[in-house]
Amino acid sequence: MSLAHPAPARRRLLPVVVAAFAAVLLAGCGSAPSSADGTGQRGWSDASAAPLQGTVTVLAAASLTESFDQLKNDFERAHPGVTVETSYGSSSTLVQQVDNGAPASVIALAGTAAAEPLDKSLVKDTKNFATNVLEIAVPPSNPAGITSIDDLAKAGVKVVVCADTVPCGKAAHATFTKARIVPNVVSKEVDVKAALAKVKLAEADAAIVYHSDVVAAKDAVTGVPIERRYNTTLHYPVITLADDAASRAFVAYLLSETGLATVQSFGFGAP
Amino acid sequence: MSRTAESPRWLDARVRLSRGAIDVDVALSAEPGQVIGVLGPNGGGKTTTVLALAGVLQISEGLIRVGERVWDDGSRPLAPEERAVGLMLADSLLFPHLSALDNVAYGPRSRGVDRRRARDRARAELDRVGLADRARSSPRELSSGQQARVALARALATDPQLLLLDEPLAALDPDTRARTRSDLAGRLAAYDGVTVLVTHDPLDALTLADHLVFVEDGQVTQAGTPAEVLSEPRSAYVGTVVGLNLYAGQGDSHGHVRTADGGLVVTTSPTEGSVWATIPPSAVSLHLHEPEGSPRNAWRVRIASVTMQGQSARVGLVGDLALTAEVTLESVTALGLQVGRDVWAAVKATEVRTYPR
Amino acid sequence: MRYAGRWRSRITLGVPAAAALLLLVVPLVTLLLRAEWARIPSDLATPNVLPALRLSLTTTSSTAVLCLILGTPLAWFLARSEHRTTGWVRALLTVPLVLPPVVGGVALLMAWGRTGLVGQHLTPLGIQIPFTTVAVVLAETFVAMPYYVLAVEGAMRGLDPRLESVARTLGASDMRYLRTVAIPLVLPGIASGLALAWARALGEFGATITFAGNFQGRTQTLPLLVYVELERDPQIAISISIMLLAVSVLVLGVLRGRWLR
Repeated sequence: MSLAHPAPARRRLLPVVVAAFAAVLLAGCGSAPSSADGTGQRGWSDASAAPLQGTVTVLAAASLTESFDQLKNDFERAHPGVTVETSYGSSSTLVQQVDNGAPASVIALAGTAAAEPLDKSLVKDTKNFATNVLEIAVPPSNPAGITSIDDLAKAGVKVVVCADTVPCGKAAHATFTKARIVPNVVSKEVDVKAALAKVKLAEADAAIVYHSDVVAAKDAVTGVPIERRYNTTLHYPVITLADDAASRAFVAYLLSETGLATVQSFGFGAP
Repeated sequence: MSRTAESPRWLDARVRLSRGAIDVDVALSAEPGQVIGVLGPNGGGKTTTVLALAGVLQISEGLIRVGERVWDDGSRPLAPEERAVGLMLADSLLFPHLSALDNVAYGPRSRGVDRRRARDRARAELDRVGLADRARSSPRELSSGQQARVALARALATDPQLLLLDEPLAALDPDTRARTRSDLAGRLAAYDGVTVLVTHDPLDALTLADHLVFVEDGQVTQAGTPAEVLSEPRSAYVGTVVGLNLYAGQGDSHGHVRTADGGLVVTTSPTEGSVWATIPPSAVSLHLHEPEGSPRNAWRVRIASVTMQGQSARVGLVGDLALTAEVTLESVTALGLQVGRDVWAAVKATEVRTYPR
Repeated sequence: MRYAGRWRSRITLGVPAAAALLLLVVPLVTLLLRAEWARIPSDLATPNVLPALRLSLTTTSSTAVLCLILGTPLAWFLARSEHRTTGWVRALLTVPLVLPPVVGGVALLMAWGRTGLVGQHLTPLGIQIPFTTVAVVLAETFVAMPYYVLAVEGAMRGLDPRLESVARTLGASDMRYLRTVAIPLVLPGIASGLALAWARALGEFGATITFAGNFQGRTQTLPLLVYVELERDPQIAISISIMLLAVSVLVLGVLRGRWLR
């Protein structure tokens, strides 16, 4: 008959289940907010007469994250009937999402070039509302001792840029060419915020980002300006995709003096 | 089991440890060439004893000594691979990815013998169990009986001083079992170490062992030669194993035994004091009416069970005395013996044996 | 078992069942329909794809080797241990299975990054892990190892413990038992564990892009390339996806045919 060996225990399932459940909870914390509600936008041809209502879905380049969060709050306070939903990402991703049918009322992009792949039949109006220049972001301790763009080419300096497919990556590439340097690029991140994060974590010695990103990051990074002759100025277009009053009002607010001042307070230049 | 202190036996073991709900305290001793049969109900500590002898479990107290060498004294146990021990279990447990030959050669190889000599030895061992021609076979190509013989060859290929067989025949069907039992008896006769054979089959024990140890609830309840155990069982379990009705009781000089349950048994061989009394089932006769004449014992009983066994039937009885009767099939039909029927059971006083408890 | 009738239950269960099937099948079929099959060979031979393909193959193979030499002993201890903490160790192992990979990437950065718990002690030695191929292997191992360990542990638990008792009495040390009996008998479990771990490593994206970054030839594996190419040339992304899909199906097919029941 069988030896009295220990039987394989089945009780051990419990901790597994507990851990799995905990992990699922953790994951759930990061889930996305609910999708846009596109109803109630039609029939408001006369915006000034009646209080605005509806939802404005705004897609904006990652570099606009902080300034558009502020705009959203200000606009919603001025128009309690309107909900502004924002989504941030690399300009190229946003354009592709719109081309693939993502519901969007307004899209704001980093650089006019980024708008080129956009399906022109969707565009109702285009206006530039800000400019931005590139800047070198370094950790506050500045471990590689970077004071100018030439320092990026020093041996051992780890530089992070945006991917070639997104505006900040294209601009960075143009800047390197103009400055005639070949830096040690260790990673091409999917958008500018990811590139900045690598510097915030001090994993990279430097990242080529926008001046606005350095301003938005506050104390987490230090900015090292890039000389004008090497730099690339990006013009930020805001493109209206929806025809409803609330959307047009939001764009108008962005282009108003107050709106432009808000954007500029986050480190952007005048259009 | 009582042991005399003056001459240490070749195998001298006192296995004490707690495992699960039972505290095991089993003493075993033997001389080379002997086969100790260990019997007992399941969960009584037989396997625990074997695993402690093998070194798979450690004893907490006691001693395991084989020849001059101490294998375990409760504090510094030798690992299984350091003991000269052979282990064979019910399911043969051959290594399924090795041929019969390599299974048998595994022991010598593990003990440092080179491949060629280990295989030569394995071939010789297979030959001794009559399987020389199956050396290349994989375990799944062998019958269960052949697997058991390979497992025996494997256990013996390392020249163990102590051979442990834990229910070696339990997994076999009855026919194979009988044949394998005689193969085993033949092989054990030529083995000069001590064999510990754990079984719950009395036939295995009586045909293979020359000394029996009964273990119940972790304790040895009886030990002795098969002849001693057969004639004088000393626990209810042993009584069942040897097939006798067994009663603990108080005897007087007139031949009256008062059993613990209050029954009265009369014998012609009186023993005074605390006694065991046995009644062979074949000595019990059943009657529809109160028997007259010679039998000194007659009890009013009710039939609790009837089971067939070959040409006879075993009838379980409850009443004045609980006992089992063995009667012919003819009497079952003639008397109309059915469960629930009230009958008289009679036993001659000359058939009742008593001996001190 | 088939019973006659029961139309109501067939409809009440059949409709959601069909919907579930469609949810899984439609995207995959669409991917196949959107592919320009004639382009696939040339797409896969473009200068962008070849380095990613090579990198994916080398990193996933390294991951498999790491699983084999580190994961097998861990599985061995887990399978044999009866200690209470074993259950918690096993639970810990399952966390990477359900953890969002990007969270894994953040955790890896916190540990191995330049200022990380372990990484800060490596930096003075001139060892920096993020943005290197080593980081890719670490990220892949982080997500793939649990698959391997759990598969092998399961196989080892299936071994009859009495085999070890027999082997030990025959004179085998525990190492010899492991080498000559346990490992040969759990080879199917090791093989299926390796295949699972390899396939998981091949598909790894979130932890890699977070921890190792994205650089061609060094840290840009196939899934990262798919993500980036989707913005440049979606057709190349689709071609690579088709290849990854084919590999996944192949691995699963081999596993089902040989070892999974």
